[in-house]
Amino acid sequence: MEERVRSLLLKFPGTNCDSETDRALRTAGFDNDIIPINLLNRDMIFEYSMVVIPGGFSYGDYIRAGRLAQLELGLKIGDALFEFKEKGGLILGICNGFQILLQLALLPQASLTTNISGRFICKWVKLKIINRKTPFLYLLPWKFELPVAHIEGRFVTSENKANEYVDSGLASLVYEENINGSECGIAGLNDETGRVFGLMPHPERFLFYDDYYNIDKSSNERYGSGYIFFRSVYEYLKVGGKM
Amino acid sequence: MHCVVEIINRFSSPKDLQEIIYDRTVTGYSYAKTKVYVIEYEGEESLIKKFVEMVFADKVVDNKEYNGKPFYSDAIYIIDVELKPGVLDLEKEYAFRYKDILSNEGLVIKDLKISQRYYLFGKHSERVKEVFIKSGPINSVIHSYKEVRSIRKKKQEAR
Amino acid sequence: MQFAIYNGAKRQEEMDSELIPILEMTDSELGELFFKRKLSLSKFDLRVIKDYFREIKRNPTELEIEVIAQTWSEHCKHRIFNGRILHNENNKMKVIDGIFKTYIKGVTEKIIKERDGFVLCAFEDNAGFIKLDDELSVCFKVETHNHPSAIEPYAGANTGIGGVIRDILGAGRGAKPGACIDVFCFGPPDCDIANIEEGVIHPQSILRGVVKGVRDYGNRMGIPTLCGAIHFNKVYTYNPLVYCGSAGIIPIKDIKKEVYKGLSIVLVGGKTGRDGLRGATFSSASLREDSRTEDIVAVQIGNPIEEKKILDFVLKAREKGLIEYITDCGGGGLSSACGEMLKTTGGKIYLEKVPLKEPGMKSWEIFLSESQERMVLAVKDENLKELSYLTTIYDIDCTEIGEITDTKRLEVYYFNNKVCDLESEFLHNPPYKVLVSHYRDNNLKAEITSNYNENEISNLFKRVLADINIVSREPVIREYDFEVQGNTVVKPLIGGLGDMPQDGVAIRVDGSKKYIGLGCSILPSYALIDPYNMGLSTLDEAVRQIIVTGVNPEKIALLDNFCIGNPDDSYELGRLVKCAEAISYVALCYKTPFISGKDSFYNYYISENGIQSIPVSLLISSIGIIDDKSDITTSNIKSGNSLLCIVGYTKKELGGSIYYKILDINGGRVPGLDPQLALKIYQQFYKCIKDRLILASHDVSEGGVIVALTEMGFGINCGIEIDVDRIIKEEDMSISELLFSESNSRIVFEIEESNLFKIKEHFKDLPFTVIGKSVNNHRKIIIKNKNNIVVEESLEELKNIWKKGLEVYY
Repeated sequence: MEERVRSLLLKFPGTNCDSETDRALRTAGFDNDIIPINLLNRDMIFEYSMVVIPGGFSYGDYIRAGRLAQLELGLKIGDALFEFKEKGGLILGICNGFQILLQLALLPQASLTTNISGRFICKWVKLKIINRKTPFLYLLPWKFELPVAHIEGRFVTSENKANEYVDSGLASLVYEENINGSECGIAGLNDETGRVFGLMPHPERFLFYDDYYNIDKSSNERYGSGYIFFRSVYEYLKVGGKM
Repeated sequence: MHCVVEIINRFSSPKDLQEIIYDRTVTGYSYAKTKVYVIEYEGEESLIKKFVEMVFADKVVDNKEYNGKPFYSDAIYIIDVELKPGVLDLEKEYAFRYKDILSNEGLVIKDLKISQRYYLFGKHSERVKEVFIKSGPINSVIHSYKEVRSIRKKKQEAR
Repeated sequence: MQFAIYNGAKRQEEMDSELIPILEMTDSELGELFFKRKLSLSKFDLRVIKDYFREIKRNPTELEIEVIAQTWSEHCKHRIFNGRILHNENNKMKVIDGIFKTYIKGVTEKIIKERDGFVLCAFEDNAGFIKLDDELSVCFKVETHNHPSAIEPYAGANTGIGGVIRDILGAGRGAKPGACIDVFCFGPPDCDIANIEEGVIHPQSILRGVVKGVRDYGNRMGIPTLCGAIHFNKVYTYNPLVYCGSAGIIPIKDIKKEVYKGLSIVLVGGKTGRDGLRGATFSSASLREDSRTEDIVAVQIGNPIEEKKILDFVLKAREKGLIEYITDCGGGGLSSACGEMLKTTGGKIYLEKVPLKEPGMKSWEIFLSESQERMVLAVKDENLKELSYLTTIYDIDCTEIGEITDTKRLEVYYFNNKVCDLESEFLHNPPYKVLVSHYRDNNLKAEITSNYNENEISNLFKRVLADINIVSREPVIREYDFEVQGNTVVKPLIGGLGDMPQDGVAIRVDGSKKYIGLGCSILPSYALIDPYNMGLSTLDEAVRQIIVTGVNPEKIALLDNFCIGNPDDSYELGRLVKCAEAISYVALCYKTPFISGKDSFYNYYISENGIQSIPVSLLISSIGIIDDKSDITTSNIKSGNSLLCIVGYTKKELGGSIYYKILDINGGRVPGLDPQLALKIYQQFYKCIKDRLILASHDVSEGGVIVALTEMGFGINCGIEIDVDRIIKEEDMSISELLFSESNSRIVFEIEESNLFKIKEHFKDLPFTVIGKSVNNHRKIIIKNKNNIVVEESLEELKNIWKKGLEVYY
């Protein structure tokens, strides 16, 4: 029997991109389980190859995006996520998930604060890959598009670390047009191992070509760049962690 | 015990007051917004600071002021706006879930008040304050406000 | 299951079982009692109530009085819409046996017979249902939340959207909300604050607050806000209108819900407090200057995360077959939810079991409380355990509060004391209202000949394009997450830069090959002149918007939402009757059934300078099925090498138009409608879509054909060249009238030249013409009359005007 690649999608109260992210993971080949936080335990995650924290507003994000989810997750599974990563597991945070991963310090020090316009922004953006050597991006073209939808997506660092992140390739994904005031236009960041990745844009919302905002009806494309994103990770895990 | 902490986003800067008021004749003013948390607690002072860092503040984003001195010293008015009792304050509601997070270290949180602090900058004028209160972000149906002593006034008194 | 712990209950209990001696009161004393409690019932109602209690030989409890007043309120029983109306027009009187029955439900009943199996449930549940495919159904509901939004815009819109989402969750055995729609009418955002009475919130503040309220609730719930409209007009300065709607998906087998003896009644969600008491009666009364202080208690802020947890829980419970019946707690709280649920069977409620936010609440306060984020379920006892397990997963409270009986009585207990025992028959059959309406044409309808200078057309065009009711809604739309759920295939903003307007929107449905199209229309400036033609136009535009998106014209259903001022004013009621007549006429002809709707009365404000009221404000929301992915059509021009066409007559219909507004002309001929012709156009247009002949299509509405064409050109690098002389028109129309006329049933569209013959075949005998082309050699819109250039403007510059218009206010 073919070996399945399993992913765990974590659901908090207020997580709202779970079903489309689940659909994206499955379409890409994953055997995905949605696990509500109340059913999560420490040992569970080691049965999976990847943990995904999807988009939404965990616990409402009333204090700041991702803060309470971070506290809750920290209390619940403590350093298991770090151990999971050390053992070769992949961790992906999309939008609210990215905010949570930064708060948990699973990614290099940085934060996501209110967009410079002070407004929520729902928009399709052009993205550019800086470093393609991550399991999440290596099959994608250098430039592609995805939608964003956030109010706290402005990537900031203390002491100008953003430049460092770009130079070192940790900031693997940037906006072509800086929509929210992010330092160096950073849209996605990974850790030194490349196995933890967080991004503000929503790959799960561009799974099919039909999801595009300016469709060419004569095109034969079936999938969107979000599909290639999830397919990258799947292919990587499928062959046991090789790009 | 009583802890007052003002939290300021380091990446925000004052904006045109016209963005939040509805009287077009009042121009040339700007405003800044911060948050003030008033916490009643029992325990070590260091613990309450730890609590604030854990729950409310962000290392990268925020500056914190514990001494009660308003963050901006050049504002003409400082007005604290809070939700009236009985109006659902969702930040408070969710933050309060974590009131016991440091209880085994001996911290007991008894009460929490959150207000938005508005700093108004520009040429001194009573009218700006009036406009801000009457046709700005305050709706008396759900908000109450109080003026934190005006810095300018204090200076005059000092003379 | 949790049980509330109640302190000091004994005293409360004794107080609550006391009877109010209404039988011993005179009529005026009784009137006083109700007035003091702010219960809006008529003298006649009070007499009926007194007679009832005289018959059962006892006095009512405080709770019974409140329950009756709430159940008989306009909000719950729609007694005006159901009432008998003596309508006077042209010195003749006719009796209308209910506006709802005659013009809305009656129309649907006729259409249902001809559209076999399309309407699955109309006007019975929280929302109307239509068939999507053999397995799935779509339901749709739009509500208003005007008064709360006038008092606290953020909170009002917040709880408005929260309420309508709960309607969908409570539709059938629990539908999954998949889209939201929001339509607002506000005063002008540039209105001078000095002209607004103190205590009234500035329109710009209302705009900002309402949009943020919708944003913060809809985005957190993870439901895309896709469709909407904002209309600015000074008539709404004192009475803003906020319509919130939602569409949901549910398996057809789960639509039917029923209650029967032996089921347990379960309350799910947030705790119950004093908040929002009397919201139902509040929304059935006008705003007064003192509303702001008096009605503090009616202002609530929604908690979308609580509702999101309910959503996750309800959908899971429905999937597992644990729900027999479900409904939401909206206006009127438990009283309304339980009242509706127990109407046919009867039931017992034990109020001491309801989890409370605060101690010391009286029984009627618990029963009537409108605390947000609560739902009521009826479940089989054997399923309680599994339901309870789900509550721990999704982190919500769930309490058993009563049982279904077969006594046909509403029985409410509070610590062993019976605080309510009323027969359903009495409670749910309030006396008929009889109202008088009077319609007379105002003298605004006459045709007007405007003095225009042809050299000014370009300037006037720019002013029309910059008008607050035309300019791009992009700043507002981007605040809404219109992509969440990953199913938005036709977005509110489209085109090469993702920023040009689209008429109808469309969503994919998981598990189906079909798509859903959504549209809406509201035309208050027409209503000020001619409510009948406004009705015709509104329905036509709502239908046309989704036709041009690829919806099958035989699979369209509609919602009607009326807002008017004072229904006791025969003039205002007369205008409502005319409007209802109009939509019933068109709906019958199009065979587009109404499946749900709502009416909101008393939208007037008593100010220092007299009564500030609104015109009849009708929102028609349309929902339709797109049978095939390839049918989906959008409004942006696809190539610089195409022909541009128009179908439909252009008439001298500029009454209420943006053009007349710019020229400061009050009155004129409001667009009318030939529904037979329009239907023929739509049917043929659909055939063109099916034959893949349409590259892009846009409905012609406010601003006229010139605005429609310009908007189509905003999405791509090409130019547009039009010959105005080719437009099929009435005699004696000036060029500006041709360009800015807002005549109905017109569609502009793009085709490949090679397909012209086939298109002509489809549109033979219909008013079809090629009016121009898209070109690659410039980026302008050039409008010629024969060989004279009338307008020549850069599309970039025009787009800039259009795109920036709302930015300054939002």
